[in-house]
Amino acid sequence: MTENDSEEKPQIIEPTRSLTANDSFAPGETGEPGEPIPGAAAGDPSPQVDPGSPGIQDEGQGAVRGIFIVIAAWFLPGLGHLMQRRLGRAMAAFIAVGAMAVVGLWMRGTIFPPHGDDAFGVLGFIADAGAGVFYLLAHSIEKNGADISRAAGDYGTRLLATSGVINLLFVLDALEISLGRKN
Amino acid sequence: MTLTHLQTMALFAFIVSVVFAFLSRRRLSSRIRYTLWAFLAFLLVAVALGWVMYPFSH
Repeated sequence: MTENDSEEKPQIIEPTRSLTANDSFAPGETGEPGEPIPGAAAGDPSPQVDPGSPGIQDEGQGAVRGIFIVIAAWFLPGLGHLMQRRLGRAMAAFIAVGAMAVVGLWMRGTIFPPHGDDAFGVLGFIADAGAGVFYLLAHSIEKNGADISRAAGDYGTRLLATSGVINLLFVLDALEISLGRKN
Repeated sequence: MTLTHLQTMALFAFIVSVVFAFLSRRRLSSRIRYTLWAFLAFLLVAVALGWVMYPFSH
């Protein structure tokens, strides 16, 4: 058997008849320019949307879910991804943020308070607070307080701030996943 | 706990490299390659900047 034996001829379907001027169409079926759109009122620039329609409700639920995920992802690093079944990123977030924050606190880095004296203090607080639960437990982990008289304490300050910024990156990532902008 | 400057920099570079790899790559092999590449780039740039700043330390 050769290849030509198994070759099938394409089937051509002939039209039974051609369209005539007397054929009728439902509104909106032909797509001709100027044809009225079904459901749109004359002179109305935008179609009416029912606030109780399923699409609006889905958007509202999506926004609430996004806010909930942002709070969860900030509070416990990785929780936002875990809620969306992203186990790998969840573990990476928790281990990376946790390790960096704990090492920074063990090195007795500075924990910036909420009421900063200057712009650097405010920025330091924002960075530190990004670590979520690790910032809230910082004083429990770093019982002896900060010590920046040694270089190690200064390194600890940087590690602690970096852990917060990293967690904020993970929070943004979790939010984008929940909004469907990222896989 | 006390780490030297070099150890702290290496720890920082490694964790940040892993984070960037997880945020920007999806496959495991891509993440490992990206982590190694970013980690080496961090160390290389840090050592290079250290030598650039060395004359100003005297």
